[in-house]
Amino acid sequence: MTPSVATEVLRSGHLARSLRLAPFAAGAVAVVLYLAARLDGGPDVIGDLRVLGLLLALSSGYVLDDDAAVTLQASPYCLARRLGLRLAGAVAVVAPLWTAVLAYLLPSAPAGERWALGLGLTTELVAALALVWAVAAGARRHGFEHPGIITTPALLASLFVAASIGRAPMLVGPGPEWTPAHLRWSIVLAGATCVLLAAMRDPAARRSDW
Amino acid sequence: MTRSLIGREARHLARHPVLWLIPVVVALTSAADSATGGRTAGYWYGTIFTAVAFFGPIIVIFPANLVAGRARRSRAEEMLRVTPTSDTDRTWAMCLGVALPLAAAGAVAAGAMALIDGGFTIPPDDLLTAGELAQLPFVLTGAGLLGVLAARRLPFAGGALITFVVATLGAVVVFGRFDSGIWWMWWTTGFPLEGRAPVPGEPWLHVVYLAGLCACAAVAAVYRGRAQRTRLALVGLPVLAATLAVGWLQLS
Repeated sequence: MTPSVATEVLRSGHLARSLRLAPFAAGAVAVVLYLAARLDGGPDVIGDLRVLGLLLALSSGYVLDDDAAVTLQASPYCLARRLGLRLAGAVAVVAPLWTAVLAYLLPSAPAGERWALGLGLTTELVAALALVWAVAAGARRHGFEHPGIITTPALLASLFVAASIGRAPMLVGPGPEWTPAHLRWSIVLAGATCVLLAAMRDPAARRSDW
Repeated sequence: MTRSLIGREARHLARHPVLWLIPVVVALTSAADSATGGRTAGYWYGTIFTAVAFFGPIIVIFPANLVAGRARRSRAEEMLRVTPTSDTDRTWAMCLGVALPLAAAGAVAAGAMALIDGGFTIPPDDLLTAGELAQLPFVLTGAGLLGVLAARRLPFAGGALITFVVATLGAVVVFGRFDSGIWWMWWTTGFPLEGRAPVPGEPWLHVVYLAGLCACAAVAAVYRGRAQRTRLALVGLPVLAATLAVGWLQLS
């Protein structure tokens, strides 16, 4: 039953209709405009990729906003699968955009550093996405009907805090700190993923001692 | 009636949890910061500046937007239409309820910076003039009014995000392309944009320019809809023209 429900939701266009498309469209337009504005800019590939990754992460924060969520609570298709389907929709938008951005900007980086840069910055983006979605899923679990708007200040606040940690820098350039910094990003990714998975559990499925 | 509405909106904003992210972030960043030069008076001067001119405006757009958009989100607009207070009065109250506490917070922060400057030696590179300090309350207020404007003009999910991206990233990219850009941005003139030489100007007139931008945002938020177009033009165009004129004057 489960795969056919997902297929039917996708095929009939319900998923696309229920997703908030304005933030995605705004994010995509901002990415294109930013690239156009930076055509004659300096060769700060890492800075540009970080800004573009931030734009994509911010625009996908609204993916769990769902007007029909209350109605669907009673459906036999469990919460984790419903949210997972919406997250997959966001990944389907973000992944090609990010790939295109990498393909466009990475050739400007030194040849020996391209793989490390691409992998590291993709880790940063995935960690930011996991954080944004964890905040959204957690907020929804605590009763916020439309948690998308709070994901932006939450992500920005997290980045400010991350950028201020002098002993364990997170936003570094290529060099000896690159790998340790991205190990820290991986820890953030793992932690956010755990929170996201916990927040995606159906509250009705909790065991009761009564 | 409107005064009590202003107080109510101000209380809503002051109690909003997202607004309290600002002191939390400032406390966390100060604690995590290794502060290689030590936590001197200059360090705290810079920290207050960063909180009011950087973290504050970026974050405050969102609680202001959430407060201004809560009637729409809770589908209470229909009920509000039959109350004796008009939509225009309610929105003016909303703008003032958001602007006044933020301006007060900005003024307190600017006062604290002036006090630190009065009692201790601040590195000359970090020191702001009185005119630049006076800009800080308007930077914070303007961000709050942008949040209200977004809630009124872009009443859909992502409206606040679009406003944020345009107002921050868009402004930096656009105004960063010419030397006098910092004077046209809704930011303090204390620090030039990266890679741009400082351009002389009058910081006190920039205060008036920022106040004009705040007024433009409030007028655009209040006079919305087809029925209000004439009023928007009658009130908004002179305010916009005066703001642009002050914008030119600050550079002369």
